[in-house]
Formats: sequence, structure tokens, C-alpha cells
Amino acid sequence: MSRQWRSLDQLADTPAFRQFLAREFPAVTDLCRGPERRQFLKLMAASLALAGLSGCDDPPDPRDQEVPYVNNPLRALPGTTLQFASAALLDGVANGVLVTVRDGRPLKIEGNPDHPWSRGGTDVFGQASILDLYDPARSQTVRHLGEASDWQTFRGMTLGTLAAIRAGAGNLRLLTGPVTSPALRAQIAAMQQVFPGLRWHSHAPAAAGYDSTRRVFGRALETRWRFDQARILVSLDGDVLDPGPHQVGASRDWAAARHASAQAGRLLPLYHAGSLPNLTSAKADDTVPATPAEMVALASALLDGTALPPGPVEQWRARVAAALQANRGAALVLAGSTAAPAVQDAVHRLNAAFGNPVVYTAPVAEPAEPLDALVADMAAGRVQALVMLDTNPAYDSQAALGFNDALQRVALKIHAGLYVDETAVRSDWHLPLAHPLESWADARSMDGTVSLIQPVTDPIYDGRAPAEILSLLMDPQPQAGRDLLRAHWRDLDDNAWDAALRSGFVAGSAFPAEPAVARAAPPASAAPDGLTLLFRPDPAIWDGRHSNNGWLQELPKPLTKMVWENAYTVSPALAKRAGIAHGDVIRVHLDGRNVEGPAWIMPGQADQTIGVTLGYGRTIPDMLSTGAGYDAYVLRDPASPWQASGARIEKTGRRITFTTTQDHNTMDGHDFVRVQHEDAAPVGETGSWTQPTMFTHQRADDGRAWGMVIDLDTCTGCNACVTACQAENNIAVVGKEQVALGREMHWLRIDRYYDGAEDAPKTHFQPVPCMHCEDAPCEVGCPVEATLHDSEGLNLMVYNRCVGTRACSGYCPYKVRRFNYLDYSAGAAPSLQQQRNPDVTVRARGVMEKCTYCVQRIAAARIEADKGGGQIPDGAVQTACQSACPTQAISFGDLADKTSAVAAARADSRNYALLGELNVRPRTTYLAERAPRGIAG
Amino acid sequence: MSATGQALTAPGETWVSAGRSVTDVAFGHEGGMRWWYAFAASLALVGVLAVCVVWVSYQGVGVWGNNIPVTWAIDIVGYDWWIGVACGALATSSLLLLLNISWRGAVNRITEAVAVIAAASAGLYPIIHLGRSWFFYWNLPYPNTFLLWPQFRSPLFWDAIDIISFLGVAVSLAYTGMLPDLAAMRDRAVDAMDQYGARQGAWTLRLKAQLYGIAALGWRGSVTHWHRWDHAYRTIAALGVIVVIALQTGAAVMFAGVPEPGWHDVISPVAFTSLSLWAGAGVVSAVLVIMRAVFPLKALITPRHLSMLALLLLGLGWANLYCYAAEMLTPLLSGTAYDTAVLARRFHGPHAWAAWSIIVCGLVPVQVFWLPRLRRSPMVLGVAGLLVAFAAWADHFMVIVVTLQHDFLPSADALYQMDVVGVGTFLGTIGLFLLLLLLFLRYMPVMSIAGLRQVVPHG
Repeated sequence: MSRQWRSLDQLADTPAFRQFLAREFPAVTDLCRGPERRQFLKLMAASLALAGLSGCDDPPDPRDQEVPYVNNPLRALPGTTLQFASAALLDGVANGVLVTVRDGRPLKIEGNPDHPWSRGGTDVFGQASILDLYDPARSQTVRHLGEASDWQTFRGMTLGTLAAIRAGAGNLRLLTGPVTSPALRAQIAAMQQVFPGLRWHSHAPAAAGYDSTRRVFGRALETRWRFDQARILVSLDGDVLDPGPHQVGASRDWAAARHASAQAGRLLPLYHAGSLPNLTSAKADDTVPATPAEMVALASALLDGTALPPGPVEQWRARVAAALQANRGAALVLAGSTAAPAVQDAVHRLNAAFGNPVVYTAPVAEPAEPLDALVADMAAGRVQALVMLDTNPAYDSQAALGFNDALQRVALKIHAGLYVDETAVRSDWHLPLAHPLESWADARSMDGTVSLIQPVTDPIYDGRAPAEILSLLMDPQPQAGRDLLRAHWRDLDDNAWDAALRSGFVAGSAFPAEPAVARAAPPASAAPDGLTLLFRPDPAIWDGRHSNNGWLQELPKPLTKMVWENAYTVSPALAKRAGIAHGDVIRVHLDGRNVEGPAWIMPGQADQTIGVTLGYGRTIPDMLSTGAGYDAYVLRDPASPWQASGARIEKTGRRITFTTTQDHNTMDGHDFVRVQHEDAAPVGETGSWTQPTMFTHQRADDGRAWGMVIDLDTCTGCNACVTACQAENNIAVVGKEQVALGREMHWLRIDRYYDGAEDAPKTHFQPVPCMHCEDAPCEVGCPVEATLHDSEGLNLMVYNRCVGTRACSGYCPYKVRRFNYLDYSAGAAPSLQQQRNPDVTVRARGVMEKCTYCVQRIAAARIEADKGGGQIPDGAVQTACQSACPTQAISFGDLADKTSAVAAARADSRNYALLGELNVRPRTTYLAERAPRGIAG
Repeated sequence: MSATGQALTAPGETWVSAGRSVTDVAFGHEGGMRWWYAFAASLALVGVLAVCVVWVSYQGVGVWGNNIPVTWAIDIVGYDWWIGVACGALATSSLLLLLNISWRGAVNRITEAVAVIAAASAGLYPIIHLGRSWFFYWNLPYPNTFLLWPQFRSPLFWDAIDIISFLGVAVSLAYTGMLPDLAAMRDRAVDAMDQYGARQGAWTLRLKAQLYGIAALGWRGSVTHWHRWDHAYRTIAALGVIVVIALQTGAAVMFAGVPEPGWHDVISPVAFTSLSLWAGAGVVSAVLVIMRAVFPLKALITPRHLSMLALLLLGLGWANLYCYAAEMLTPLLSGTAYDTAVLARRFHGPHAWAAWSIIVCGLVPVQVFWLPRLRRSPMVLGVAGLLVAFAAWADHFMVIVVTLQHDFLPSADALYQMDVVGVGTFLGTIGLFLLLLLLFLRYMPVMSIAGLRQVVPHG
């Protein structure tokens, strides 16, 4: 008997078992240590059961070595939200942002209200960039010929080649995206000293160039507009409100000027003529579609004061010409970077001739040689080594350029990027780039203001910043990013440096205006006629660099509401002539190349044009973007990147169904979006929610009434609010199939309506969040009271009470509720789950969800106010959509506080309730669009 | 003989022969192999139901085609239809009894059975259609530590209570009505035991005698028994009428109580109730015709009974036509754009087949019953019954899906398409209905012997 006991004793005393016990049950290890019989007897049963688990032992946990804080470091207050100033980059150009960080995890991008350019606004790319930070598909390690490697090996193996080049044996080239960073520019200059003969090229498929100012003014200049001094706006293929590096600041300037002009009783009208509908044309008060050839003729006719052949374009020209004459020196003529060169040139000359309030500054992007010169040299075998920094020319250069073939003639190909992309797999070395939120850097905004970018987290993967990679290539001892940046900004003393980091920008670094004198105009050449392909960056994934971002892929494109794909947009007239139906797969031929894609019949698009967006048709396997859309770069012409004439359409006989979040085009004769014409009677009806009701039940009321007012006049449909809402509220990405079934999860949608003829309709945008009805039909339906009103008038969703009857959604007249038909949130990659807002419940399957007015932000403000014992001050609560909006179209606050901004907005004569006649008393109301007097549009 | 001159039973039927005809169905297994084929087919459909329910429960209701805005689709269509059939059947039976209609003996047993079995098929849906079906009991008022109650304003809560009440009343009515007949079955088994003695098969007779005997609750047929039975039966029937009206009007308010166009209509409770009566009468007609064809009951289910049911279908058809006319006239007269748009989409939208099915399969076919010859044709009655049942299904589809798909804001619409799992689930509930019906026909007194004996001569 005693032998048995001893053998069990031995079994219980194995080191593995002791270790297991110590780790799993620290409290019982002492009990186990003294093998006294009585204690042993107590533990015997447990030890027998647990002995088998000793095989599951792991190596010692390094966390054993951790020492807890005695004093918490400054930035590690658990559960406290910190904000760091930084910048979001699009084509190298900065928008000032604040990054919300909680417990060391960056969670959300907010606008930086102090930043001179962005002034608190953001765009979709900035909002979504936080998701890229956590993207599990990001490049995580150095790769050599496709095999995992490391930085040491890279340095060791390239050292010899680089030294030889430095000694003159060969030709090194540097290819980057657009560089606005003064520090990086200085570093490249230094690199050119180290590597004699180093030539620097820059390539960005969607970035605006300076060709037009070079032609007109003889040098590269940035064009900026003084909307505040303008009395009329004339947009010729303009894209001032459209996505791009300029969008945030320019939209803000436009909205402010529009608002101020309305207050002054003289609304700033926007005239637009263009080939493809865009956000700018959608917001125009008087818009006319014009073919590319008509655009060129129109621009020169406006410049010369001549007339065009009769037609809608001529009528538009006559109206605009009269308006321009009447507002000499106070008219702004705008052209987009994607407009035809002749149009851009004519616009510069028009503004110069009329003395319009246009400001020219030094170019934001540092000048570098173009890509085609590099490709020519590569093809000729004159390039021995090529460093490609944050650029993907193997995918996004024009196929006709022949980059991929030329690349094979380069001996040493080094690529640094966020993803193992098309260029990475064709390179010898791929280096993982750090995300901007992990890097030290600087960059300029469109006004020239230098934003400082500081890392808000350690690199999640093994990436390094561009400056660090250049240092690795050129410096004897590679330097850290902060040292490189600080060294460049050594003129700033420590106080100024800290201030710049804290505010996110270097004060007073904006570019001053520069004189620009237009040269004599060369004789105008007639634009080629015929079927023209018009290329545009995609409003959701830009040039393709954001194509692995689920939020952006699932973001309904502003005009088509399409997700996860792109299409050929064709005008209704062309579709009729060519016999193309919506969704027909067509093959577009151009110069012997052809690409298949579905046709989307686009109201308001000019005849004889096909619109294509860039960024789709990616071929890298196992990415979100794999298999989505078609690749328009194949058709792109190096000489004329934005338009190519001589296209031919061939029908394939196949048809697809588009995946869209909205199909209907018109308001069915209703006035969901109201328009307030100047001098007309007010269209608002502030009294609509005070109609008599049979249900005068008492409800809890603490005197506060949260409400929202959305100004439809300044809403540009840019989608920043939609993405911000998704980022703030842990909204799941459901994928193309689920969207096709009608199950997208966005809490906030932007309704797009067309009004008028199909050829030239008026476009309206209307953001629709939950209306937080005071007499909410949804609440009547719920049998378990999972949706109900709180004392502040919020219509709440209690997720853990919801059983999923979906009655509330059926009862909702606005259909703003979203249902977890499947377990959408569980499918997110673990790294993506780190982005989730800890203040917002992640919804399980079978649960209804909807806009909460960012109740977590209200709660945070209430806690803050309660500390001081006071009321929540007006403006203390900013909903995610509100703070993201670049035009400040959304006001939110306490309607019961008569001094609040939202109460003032609600008192506006344009204020009306959507479906107010249903008497559900919505807390969200709208301000009608404005329309200037004297314009039919 | 009845006053109208048409016989309620075939000439020559007596007390004894009527009882024997009915009990023969259970004891003689008259269906034979046909019963087994039908049973196997129903069992296969129940298998489909099991697969679908497991799949829905495991993956979530996303395996159906429902979306936003069509959050309720053929799941709730199926539920409303089944509970409508059940209500129609229960109301028919209860009213025939309360009004003391002489010919009810042939039909009220099967209507009561249809009421119970259809309610069982319906009862699945309110649970499995939930996003989190494992919390279905939160819909019910039960004491809990959170002190949480259901939301009493919600028609969905009323519906939960209604279904439970309905099941209670329907089962009580069917069972109470069956008591004397179960005793007759017991006695038949005892008689047979006496007849066969100790021969082979006697043990099954003994088992039957015991089971029917237990089910008969000691019925001996004393005058007191009959007296109390009659009171109880009629009282429960009265409750049945009340619960049917409560359930159908409650289900109607589930739609009429919200501002949605096409739902928000005061005629809705009347329309729901009359539709449910129609659907119930249709299903009962079809089942009765099949029963008559399969089992040797032609002497007890006479052309007179068929004629009565046909007239019921015709009359209810006109009642429903009145409701449809009222539903259509209201928006047309009021001119409310959302309502007229929904009306237009019902007849002209992507699901216009539903509205046209109501006309083509429901309102038009029953008009053949203006002709007395067709009223007496079992084939015509059976087909018309099934068509009416389908029309009622199409009505629920039209009301629910067409409105949800596009209500107020055109931007919020999304097309709904029926899907394999959703259809499979519904077919599975049909399988469940058929399976339970077949078991009922096999083992239970398929007609009310007591009721029949009131109309046949003593003999």
C-alpha cells in the first residue's frame, strides 16, 4: 500500500507538473511544495487529473520577467484616451489628423481642428488608414527572391553592389511616389551626393501634375482658390470637391464661402461643365454635360469670348460668359487635374485675364523626373540598380510603357512597400515599409504647411520608414527615423519642435503666394473627336493602393453606390445607340489593347465618353482585392493619362448584376431632399413634429434632448462620415456577396437621388443615420424592449437583450437598422480586431444594430461633465460623422439648450424633417439645399 | 334526412354502420400501402425540415434570403399562413358546433385536427426565425432575476401569448370532442379481443384497448358524461372563436399598427380574419376530399358535405374580395402617394405574381361553385381548396414582402429573392403537417362518431 502512495507522490512531484501547477494555480503551489501526507491527500485527486496535462507544457513565458510599473509612464494611463497629432497621406500630400490612442492601441483618426489646411475635416482615405495599420495582409518581413529574409541579410548582401555603384561602377536609380516631405527631399539630395549620378524619378498614377502651369506660367505651381473672395464659381471638368489631396481643405473653403454668401443674401453659385459626373458636378447649381471635344471648344470659347454651335453647351456658355463678365475679378474658374490639358491651360489664362482670386504657390510635391524616362533607360540597359520606394509601377504604370519588361533588365531591384504587391514579386528584394502611423516623417499639405508625423505605436510588423530605408542604403551607420527627422528640423529649438509635434504641424510653414504671369497662348489645336475613354482615380480605393482596405472596398461609391468592383460608365445616349444595357459586359478596345468590364449607364455623363476608374483588377492572390473589378491601367496611354480617344466598344453578350447598396435613382415624386431657392418662401417646416398624437404617454426626461441637423447644401457626398462611423462603431465588413443580398452594415448611408432628365439630371445627397424618432415605431415592435428611449431622448439598442425578431427594422420608415444575419464580426482577423473601439459593443450574430448618435461619446462627455458637477457644454460631444465632415455639414447637440449650435441650426428656415408627415418626430432633421436665384438648374 | 332533402349520410347508414366505418379506418388500416408511401414522403420532407432548422440555428438566419429591408420574408409568410390555416380550421369547427349545424359531424373532427397540426407547423417559425432563437423565451412573461418583462405594447408579444393560447384551446377542443370516440375505439378493441380470443394479434388489440382506454379518460357514456361533455365542448368552442379573432386581429395589428404603406390599414384585422377562414376552409376541403377518396367513408362524407364546404369557400371568397376592394380603395381615395405606390407595386412590381395569384388561384376559381354540379364534385372541391390555400400564402407574401422591399425611401429598397433554405424550411413544415395528419388518420377516429350518430337513424 505504501509503495503505491510513494509512486503517486513521485508522479505528483514531476517538475513539469510543478511548473504547470505554478502557472495555472499560483495559490496552490505552496500547498503542493511541502509534500506532507495530509496536504498530499487533499491534492491527490487533482494531481491525478492534471498529471496528464504535463505534456501540454510550453517553454517559459517571457512575461515572467515583467516588472510592473511603480509610477505609470506619462502615456500609459489605463483606459484613458490620448490623442496624438499626425497626418494622413494621399499621394504623399498630408491632411492633418489626430490619432486616438487607447492603452497603446491607435483606434481612430480624427481631424485636427488646429491644422491650417484640414481644419478638423478628414477624407475617407484618412479615416480608413487606421485599418491598414492592422491589416494582416501587410508585408511583415524582408523578402529576398520571394523567401523570408531580414534587414541584416539585406544590408549585407547589397553592401557590395551599392559600394561598387558608389565607386562609379553602374547606375543607381531611385523611384518613389510623390514626395512632399522636406526631410525626405533633403535626404534624397544627400543621397545624390553619396551616389554620383543617382537620378530620382517619381511616379503616382493618380496624382495631379504641374504640366499645365509649366505650359502657361513656365514653371510648376500649385493652384489654390480664394473662395471667400469669389462671387461665382465656374468649374470646367473641375474636381474641387472630389477625392484627392485637396479635398478636405478645398471643400471646407467652398462650404464656408457658400454659407457666408448665403448669409449675405447672395449665394455663391457653382457652374459646372464636364464629361463625367462627379461630386463637383453633383453640387453644381447649373451643370451641363459636354464631350471632351466640346470641353476644349468651350474653354477656348470662354477665353476668346466667341460662341459655340447652338445647343445646351452653348446656352450654358452664354450664361457663364455673362456671369463672368458681371463678376470680373470675383469669379473663380476651376479645372481638375484630370481635365484635358487644353482646358487646364485655358482656365489658367481665363483666371489671369479676369483677374480672378486665384493664388499660385510653390508646388507641394518636390519635382522629380518622370517614370517614362526611367523605363526608357531601363529598357536600354542603362540601369544597374533600382530602388523603388512606396510605389507599385508593375501594377499601376501604363501597360503601354512596358515597365515590367524593362524591369527584367535591371540587375538589382529593391522594392519597399506596405504590401507584397505586383512590383515586390518582380523584385530581388522586398522591404516592408512601416505604416505612417508607425513612422517618423513629415509631409506638406496642399497649402504647403508641413505636418510632422510621429509614430503612435511601435511597428506592428518588421517595417521601416522610407527615411530609414534610405539611410540604410546610404549611411555608414543606419539612423533611426526620429533622429533623421530631428536632424532635418534642427532649426527648430526643442520647444518649437515639441510644439510642432504636439500641434501636428510646423506653424507658419504654409507657402506664400507667388507671382505668376501667363505666357502668350499657343494656337489652339482642335481636340480629337470620337469615342473617348476617361480615366479617373477610384473614389474609394484611389489608384489601387487602398484596395486591401475592407472599409474602402465596401464603401458605396458616391454616385454609383457600387462596392467591391468598378465599371465602365457610359452615357445614356451612347448606351442607347450602342445597344448596351445596364450590366452588359463590354470589351473596350484601344490601340490594340482591350479590357472587359461591365457597363454602368451613368445619368449626366456626356455622350461619346466611357468613364473608367483605376485601382481594380489586382492579381496578387489571397488579398481582399483579388478578383475585384477590372484593370484599367492596361488601357491607359502614357502620353495622355486621363483621356484616350479612338476607343471601340464590343459587346460580349454576357451580363452581370452589379453589387450596389442603392438602385433607385429618383425620389418617386417626393421631396425627400428639399431645395430652398433664393427669394422663395421657406421650404422648412419646423412644426412638423408637433402634430397632435393620440399617444401622449409620459416618458423619462432629464431635460436634455440630443438631436442632429444635417445641412444638405454643404454635404458633398464625400463619404468621410460613413467611414468615420464604421471606424468608430466597430461596424463589420460583410463582403460582396452579403452586400449583393442587401445586408451591408453601414449605420449611416448617403442616399443619392437624381432629379430631372436622364441626360443632365440634378444630383442630391442625403446622409441618413438613425433619426432617433421621439415616437419611434421600432420601439413599439420589439417584444423584449431591446430598443427603447432613454431619459435623454436617445433611441437605444440593447444588444444583449435583442433576440432578433427584426420587427424594429420592418417598422422603421427610414430603414436605417442593420441586422447581423450571420456572425459577421467573428470573421475579422485577430489583428483587425485590435482596431475595435473598446467603448462600443461588438455585435454578435442575430442582433439588430443601428446608429446610436455615438452614445459612447455622449457617455464620456457626461462623465467628464459630472466630474465638475456641471452640464455637458455645447460642442463637447462630437459624433464621429460630425467630426469627420470636411464641410461641417452636421451639427449635433442638445436641442433643449436654446443656445446650442444644433438648436440654432434647427431654427433655420430651411430646417425640415424627412418623412415628418408620419408624425414620428425625428430628432435628426435636415437643412434644405440652397439654389441661387436666376438659375434653372 | 335533413330539411333540404339531401341526405347527410348515404341511405342505409345506421348507428352501428357509421361507428364501424369510422373505427375501421384505424383498425383495418384501410390506406394500406398508399398510407406508407405518403408517410415515407412526409418523413423525407420532415428530414428536409430538420436539416434546414439545424442549418439556420447553426449559421444564423442569414442562410435564408432575408435582408435589409426585407427582414421578414417567407419565414413570417409561412408562419402567418400556417397560423391562418389553423385559425380558419378552428373557427370553422367552433362555429359549426356553436351554431349546432347538423352536418358538422362529418367535418369537425378533421377541422379540429387540421387546427392543431397546422398550429404545430406554425409554432416552429416564431422560434427558428429569431436571430438568437435560444432566447425565444424572453418573449414570454416569466419571473427572472433581472426583473425584465416583455414589452407589452408589442404585437409580437401578443402573438406569442396568442399562439400559446391557441394551442391550448385547439388541443382542448380536439381532445374533448374526441373523448366519446376514443371510448368507442376502446370498446371496438375490446370487442375485437372477444372476437379473436387468444389468436394471433391479440396483444396489439390489448395494447390498443389500453391506450384508447387511457385516452378516453374513463368515458362510460352516462347521461352525466354527455351533459358535461356537451357543456365543456361548447365552452371551449366559444373560447376557440375568441382566440381565433384575437390571434388574427393581433397578427393584423403587427402590420396595421405601424406607419408602413400597405400595412397601415384599418380593414387589416377583418381582412386577416377572413383570409384565415378562407385558407382554413380550403385546406380542410382538400384534406376531406383526400380522406374521402382514400378511406371508405363516402357514405358518411356525402356530396351534401362537399357542397356545404364549396359554398363556404365561395362565400368567404366574396368576403375576401370585399376586403381586397376596401384595401385598394382606401389608398386610391386617400391619394396617399406611398400607399398608392405600394398598391401599384403589388400588381406591377418584381413580386406581382403574388397579387395575381390571389386573383387567379383564389378569387376566380371559387366562382365555379355557383354551379351546383361542381359543388358536389370532390375533385373540383379538392383542387379549389388547395388553390385557395396557395392564394392565401401569396396574400401573406404580397402584404409582407412587397411593402418591406420598398416602403418610403426609394434609396432604402433592396430586392428580395426566395432562396433554397427558406423554401426548404417551408416545404419541411408542410412535411411535418402531412406526417402528423397521416398519423392522425391512421390511429384516431377520423370523424366524430358521436356527431354522425345524431344524423343517422337508430338501427
